[in-house]
Amino acid sequence: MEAQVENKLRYVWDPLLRGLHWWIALTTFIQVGVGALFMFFEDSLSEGLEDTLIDIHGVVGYLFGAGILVRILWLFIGPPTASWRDMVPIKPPQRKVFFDTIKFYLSFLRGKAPLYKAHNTFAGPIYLAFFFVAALQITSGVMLLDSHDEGASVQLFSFAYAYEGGDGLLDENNDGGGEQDEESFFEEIFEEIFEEAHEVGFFVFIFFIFAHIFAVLVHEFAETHRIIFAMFHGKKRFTDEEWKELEK
Amino acid sequence: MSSCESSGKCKSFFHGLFHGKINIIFGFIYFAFTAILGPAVLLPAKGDHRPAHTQTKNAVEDIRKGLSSGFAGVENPAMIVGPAVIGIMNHIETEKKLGTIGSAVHAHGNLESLLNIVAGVVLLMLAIPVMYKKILSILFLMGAIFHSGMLYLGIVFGVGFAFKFTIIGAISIVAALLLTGLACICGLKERKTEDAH
Repeated sequence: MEAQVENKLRYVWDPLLRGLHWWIALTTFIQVGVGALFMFFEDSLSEGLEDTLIDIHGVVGYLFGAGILVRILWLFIGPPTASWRDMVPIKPPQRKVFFDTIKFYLSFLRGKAPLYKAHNTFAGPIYLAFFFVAALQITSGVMLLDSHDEGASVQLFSFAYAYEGGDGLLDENNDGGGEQDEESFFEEIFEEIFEEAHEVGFFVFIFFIFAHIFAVLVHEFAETHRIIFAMFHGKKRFTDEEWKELEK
Repeated sequence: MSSCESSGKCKSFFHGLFHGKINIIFGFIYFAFTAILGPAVLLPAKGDHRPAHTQTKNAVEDIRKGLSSGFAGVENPAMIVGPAVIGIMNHIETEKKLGTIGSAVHAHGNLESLLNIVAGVVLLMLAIPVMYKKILSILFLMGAIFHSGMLYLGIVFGVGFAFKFTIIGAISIVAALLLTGLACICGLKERKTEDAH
């Protein structure tokens, strides 16, 4: 008679990481949804609705930015399972997981799935790239929000909008103007660059969302670690043998 | 080994610095800085614009007199109206900088230094893992430095590009406040006190 292998729930994800995951996921969905309305229905939106959507996009954007900022800090301050060191294949076992995952995908999920405790080191660099793109999206979004001269209710944080020019109170000849023509010329160019970058970032986000959900579902069914529930209660399922190997 | 290390005194200062202590230290020093900048920069700047305000007031008074007399004896009324209009416009511009914006920077600086002091005290009291205290402490510091700090750089010291960094401070404060609220739910516990009777 074959001995039954017992899976036990083992604590992997800390509460802040889980909270941030769902915080970023929720705000991403709202941002992408509102962004899609701008992208595909721009001409049919009324001016009032457009301003309301910009306000929503701006406020949720700040919340998204807060989530991304905390997650990036958590990469350096947080526990080992949330650290950047867990995401990149810097140690031999991590490199093994990286190559084993590629082999696993190329063999169309046949054979044994690679064993890892927290982050898969093949997916890890993609998550880091996502944080980088997200930071760029926040930056370009803020720049575009500042340049949008209507529906200014979400510009509460940006004094740059209220205070045009950079002449300080300590300057003797402070007229608040400066070289306005030259500035507005560069501002127009930068605005176009930021707009293009923001649109490219939008499609990168959509690609990431689909790739992430697809990969999570694949691993959920190909492995026995229950990774979806783990992002709620923080515990993944491992056998004693697997856990011993991971704790080496 | 230095005497400081052997006595353990330096360890006691740096130990737990990011558990809230650094926020209290930073908060008081930053508060002193903002308190000095108020009377040293903002008020004198307001004072410098007082003569312009008086000139405008006089010009408007001349218009009033001219209107009541139908500008009798005045060859070109535009020469009276012009300075008043320009003066009013300059006054509005000055108010925009010194009034609303200048005072707002001062208020933000004061509030964020106080916020750091309060946050430091709360963090020291919270019974949560050290890592969480550390990230909250850094977020509050970043919030003050990148928000009101950058506003001071931009508005008071004229470093224009500093405004672009205010977003980092704004989102740091939003994150710090939300997370501290959550941390207080599970980490703020009432200390048991003995009944006097």
